[in-house]
Amino acid sequence: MGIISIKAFVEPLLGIAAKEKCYMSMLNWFNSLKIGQKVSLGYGLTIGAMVVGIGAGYKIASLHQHQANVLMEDALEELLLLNDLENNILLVRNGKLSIFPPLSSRKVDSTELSELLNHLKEIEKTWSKFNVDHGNVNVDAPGESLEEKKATDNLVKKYEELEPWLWELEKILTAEENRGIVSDRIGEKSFSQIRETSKYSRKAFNEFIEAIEELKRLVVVEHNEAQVKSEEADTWQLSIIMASLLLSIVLASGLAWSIIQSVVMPLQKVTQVAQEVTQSGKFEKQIPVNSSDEIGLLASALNQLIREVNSLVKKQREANEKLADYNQNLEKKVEERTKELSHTLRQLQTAQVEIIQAEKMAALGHLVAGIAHEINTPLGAIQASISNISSSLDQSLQQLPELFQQLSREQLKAFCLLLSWATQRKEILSSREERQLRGKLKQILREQEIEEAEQLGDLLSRMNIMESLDPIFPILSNKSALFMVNCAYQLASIRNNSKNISLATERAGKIVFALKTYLHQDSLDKMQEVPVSESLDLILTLYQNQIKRGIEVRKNYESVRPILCYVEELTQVWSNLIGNAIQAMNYQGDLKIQIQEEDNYLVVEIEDSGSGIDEEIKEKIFEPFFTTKAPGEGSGLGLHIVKQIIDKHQGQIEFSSQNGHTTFRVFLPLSRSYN
Amino acid sequence: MLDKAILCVDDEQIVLISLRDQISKHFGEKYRCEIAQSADEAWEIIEELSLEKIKILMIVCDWLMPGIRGDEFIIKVHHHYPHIITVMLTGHAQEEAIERARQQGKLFAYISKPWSESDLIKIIESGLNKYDG
Repeated sequence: MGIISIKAFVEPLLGIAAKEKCYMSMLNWFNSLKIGQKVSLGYGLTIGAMVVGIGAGYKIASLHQHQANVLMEDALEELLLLNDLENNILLVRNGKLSIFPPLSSRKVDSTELSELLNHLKEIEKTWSKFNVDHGNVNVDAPGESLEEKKATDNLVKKYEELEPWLWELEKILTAEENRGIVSDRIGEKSFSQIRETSKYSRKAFNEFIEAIEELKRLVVVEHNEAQVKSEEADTWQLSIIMASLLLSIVLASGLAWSIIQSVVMPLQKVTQVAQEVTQSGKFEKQIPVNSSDEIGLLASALNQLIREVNSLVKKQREANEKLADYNQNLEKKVEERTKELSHTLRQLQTAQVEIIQAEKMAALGHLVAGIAHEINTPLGAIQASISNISSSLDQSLQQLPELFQQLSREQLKAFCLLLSWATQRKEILSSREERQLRGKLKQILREQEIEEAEQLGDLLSRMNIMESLDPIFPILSNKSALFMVNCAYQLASIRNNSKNISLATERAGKIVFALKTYLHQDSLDKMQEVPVSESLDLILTLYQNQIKRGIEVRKNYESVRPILCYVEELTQVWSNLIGNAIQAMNYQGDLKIQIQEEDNYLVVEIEDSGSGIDEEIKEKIFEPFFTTKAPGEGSGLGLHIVKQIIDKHQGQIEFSSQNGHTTFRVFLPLSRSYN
Repeated sequence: MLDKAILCVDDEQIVLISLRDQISKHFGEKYRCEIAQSADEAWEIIEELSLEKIKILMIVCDWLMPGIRGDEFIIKVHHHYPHIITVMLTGHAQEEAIERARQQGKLFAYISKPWSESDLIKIIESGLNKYDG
C-alpha cells in the first residue's frame, strides 16, 4: 500500500514519460530507506515546498510590485512634467496675451515681461527634461504602449512646430527687456511682431496643449494600469503563499498517508499475521516484505521466526506423532514384553527347578559310582555266596558219610563245638584281624606239634575261631584233622554264606530304598511336616560307602519338633553339605551332625575335621559356578542351590572354618510349622 | 608250603571272603589266597609275603576303595612290581580310569560285579598261564 501511495505521489512528478525502470529504481531506493529517513525525507519535502512557495511568492510579488511602482513613478513624473509644461505654456500664452493685447496698446510692466520670459525659459527647461526622460518611448518597456508612443511622438512634433514661435517670442521679449522699458510701453515694432506671430502661433499653442492633454490622459491610464498591476502583485503573492501552504498541507497529508501506508499498515499486517499465526497455530503464513526498512527487517525477522517456529512445530508434530506412535507401540511392546517376561519368568522358574534337579542329578551322578558299587558289591557277594554254598554243599554231601564214619564220640562232640563256634560268630573279622588270628592259631598249632598247622590255621582263622582250641583238640590231634576241619569249614561256609546273602540283600535293599527316597520325594511345591533327622539319615545311608572307609560319624540329635519343609530340597541340602564334608576330609576324619532348637529355630550343624575353607574363597562359596574341584567333578552350583533352598525356607546358613573344624549351621524357622 | 600267592583287595569283607572261597576252591592246592580290605593293608601283605619269600603272582582289586582308587593302586603296583598280573573286579568304575589302568598299569582284565565264578576262574587261569608262559 505504501508503494501505491508513493507511486501515486511520484507519478505526477515524473510524468508519463518516466520509464518503468526509473520508477522502479526510485521505488527501490525509497523502499531501501529507513523509516526515519523516509519521515525526514517527507518532512524535508513538506517544509521545503512551504519555504520555497512562500519565498517564491514573496519574490515574484515584490518583483511585480517593484515594476508596478516604477511604472507608477514614471507615469507620475511624466504627468508632473506635462502639467508643468502645460502650465507654463498656458502662462506664456496668457502672459503674451496680456502683454500684447490684440486690440489696445497697453502699458507693459517689466516684471510681467521678465516673468513671461522666465516662463519661456521654464518651458524650455521642462521640455528638455521631458524630452530626455520620456521623449523617446520604447514600446517594449513595461507600461509603455504604442498609443503612448504615438501621443508622445505627436507631442514632440507639436512642440517642434511650437518651438520657433517660442524662440521668436523669447527673442522679442529679450530684445524688449534689453532695450529697457522706459515708457512702460512696448515698442511698436515688437508689438507688431508679436501680433504678426500670434496669428500663426495660436494654432501651434492649441495643438501642443491638446497633445499634452492627450498624453496626460494616456499617462493617467498608464498610472492606473500600474496601480492595478501593483494590486495584482499583492494578489499573486497571497495566492502563491496560499498555494505553497496548500501544497505543504497536501504533502504533509501525503506523508502522513505514506507513513500510514508504509509504517502503520505493514505493522498492522505484521501484527495481524502474528495474531493469526499464534491464534490458529498454523505457522505457514508469511508477511509480504516490500521494504528494507525497520518494518521490512521486522517482517523478515518475524517471517524467519515463523519459519523457524513452523519447522519446530513440524518437528514437534512429527516428534509427537512418533511419540504417540511409540506410546501405542510401547503399550503393545510392554504387553508383549510382559508376556515374554512372564513367559521367561516361568521358563526361569522351570529352569531353576531344572537346575536344582540337575544339580541333584549331578550330585547323584557323583553318588552313582558309590551307589552302583554299593549295590553291585552285595550282589557280587550274593552271587559268590550262592556258588560257595552250592560247592560247599556238594563237598559236604560227599564228605559227610566219610566224616561220620571216622568221628569218634569225643571227636563228634568237638566237631559240633567247632561248628557252633564257626556258625555263631556275630561279627565278621576284618582281614587284618583275621590275619593276626591266623598267625596266632598257627603258632598254637605248631606249639602243639600238630601236622598241617599251616592249612589248619588257615581254615580255623577263616572260620574266625577265637576261642581256646583245647576243646576241639580231639579233632586237631587226629591224623584226619585237616579233613574234619575242612568239613566243618564247608558246613560253616554254607551257614556263613547264607548269612552273607542276608546281609548283602539287607544292604542293597537299604541303598535302593535311600535312592528311591532321594529321587522320588514328593512334588516340589508341597511342604511336608517331617522330622529333619529322617532326611539327614537318608543321606548318611547314601554316603555310607564313602563314610565307612575312615570317617567316624557322631550324631547328636536332640528331640525336636517336626518342621514344615520341602523334604526333597532339604534332603538335597544335607546331601551337598555332607558330601562336601566327606570330600573335605578326604574320606578320613570325624563327621559331627547335630540337631537342636535355638530361639524358635531348628539348627542343623554339620562339622567336619577337614582342612577348612581358605580365607580368600570364603566369600565366594555361595556364588554359582564357584568350585574348588577339578573341572568335571563339581558343578559349582551345590552351595548356591543350598543357599537358595534355605532362602526358600526363610532360613539362614552360616559357616565357620579353621583347620580341622569346619562347621555349617543351617537355621530353619520352627514357627513355620504353626503357620 | 605254597610259595605263590594271589592277593584280593576290596573294602568289602563279604566280597573278600566269597572271593577267597572261590579262589581257594580252584587254586587252593597251588596258590595261597590272601585278602586285604584296603590298599594300605595290601602293601603290608605284599611286604610280609616278600619277607616270607612268597611270590605274589596276581592281584584282584576293587576300583572304588577308601583312600585310593583301584586304577591308581594298580599303576603303583605295576611301578613297583611289574611282574604282578592285575585284575580289576568292581561294581563300578569310570571308563577312563580303566583305560588309564590298562595303559599305565598293564591291567590284565576287568571283571564287573556281580561276577560269575566261571568267568573269574577263567580269567585268573588265563592270567596265570600268561605268567607261566
